[in-house]
Amino acid sequence: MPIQDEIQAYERQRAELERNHMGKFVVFNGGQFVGAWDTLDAAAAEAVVRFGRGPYLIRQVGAPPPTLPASVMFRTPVIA
Amino acid sequence: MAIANAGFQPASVIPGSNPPRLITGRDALTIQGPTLMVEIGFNPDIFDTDPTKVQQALALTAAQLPSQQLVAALIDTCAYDSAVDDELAQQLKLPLIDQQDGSGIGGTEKFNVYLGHIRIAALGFVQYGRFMGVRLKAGKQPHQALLGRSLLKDMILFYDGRDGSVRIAV
Repeated sequence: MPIQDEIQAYERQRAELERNHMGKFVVFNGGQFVGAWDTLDAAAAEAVVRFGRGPYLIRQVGAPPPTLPASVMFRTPVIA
Repeated sequence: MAIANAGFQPASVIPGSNPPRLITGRDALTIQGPTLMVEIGFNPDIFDTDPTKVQQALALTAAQLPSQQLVAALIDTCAYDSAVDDELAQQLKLPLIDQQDGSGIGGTEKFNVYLGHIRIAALGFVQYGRFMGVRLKAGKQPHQALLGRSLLKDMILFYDGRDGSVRIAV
């Protein structure tokens, strides 16, 4: 199942996840909610043992969308 | 307390300059930013001491040899998430674990998010990290990874712009 399908499964359950697992790292595989963990490290360790390279979704419930760091926008001149 | 150096020597020869030219540590730090050599990859057996679980994880990763690479990473206190060059992430076959819209000064763009381990040998530090895939190499950036605040939250950073020294500790 492609990662987009896992994201859709997450979105369908977003309200419930935000009610019950706010701030936790959740894993989705095969369109199913697998579990919630306190840290990325714990969620990743479980996902890797069970599903290898995936695809699976690992996302922190309620986390804001990522902000692209300015360092990517403004290229640092290379010393040469 | 383990301490790693992420700064520059008081003076050094600019690589490839002919005739040799010197650059001060403070100027090198101003131009390059705090830079740390880190290993990024995907190697399940560095996290679990249970051999059964490790074998299970390795079998699931299609029996491919663990892949990792030592890269120059910018300590980027401006970034929340860490980031890795997207091309490198694909070369290392890091698992794709999310796709998210990220915002920057140029608007909104969709990014791949990868799972990988990050190891800082000098600190004895290793953990899983969530890396946004960004086009650092294509943008001719000198770093192949950015270490964001979510990774730095348990660390101490000492920055002295006067002499170009930077130390990071856990």
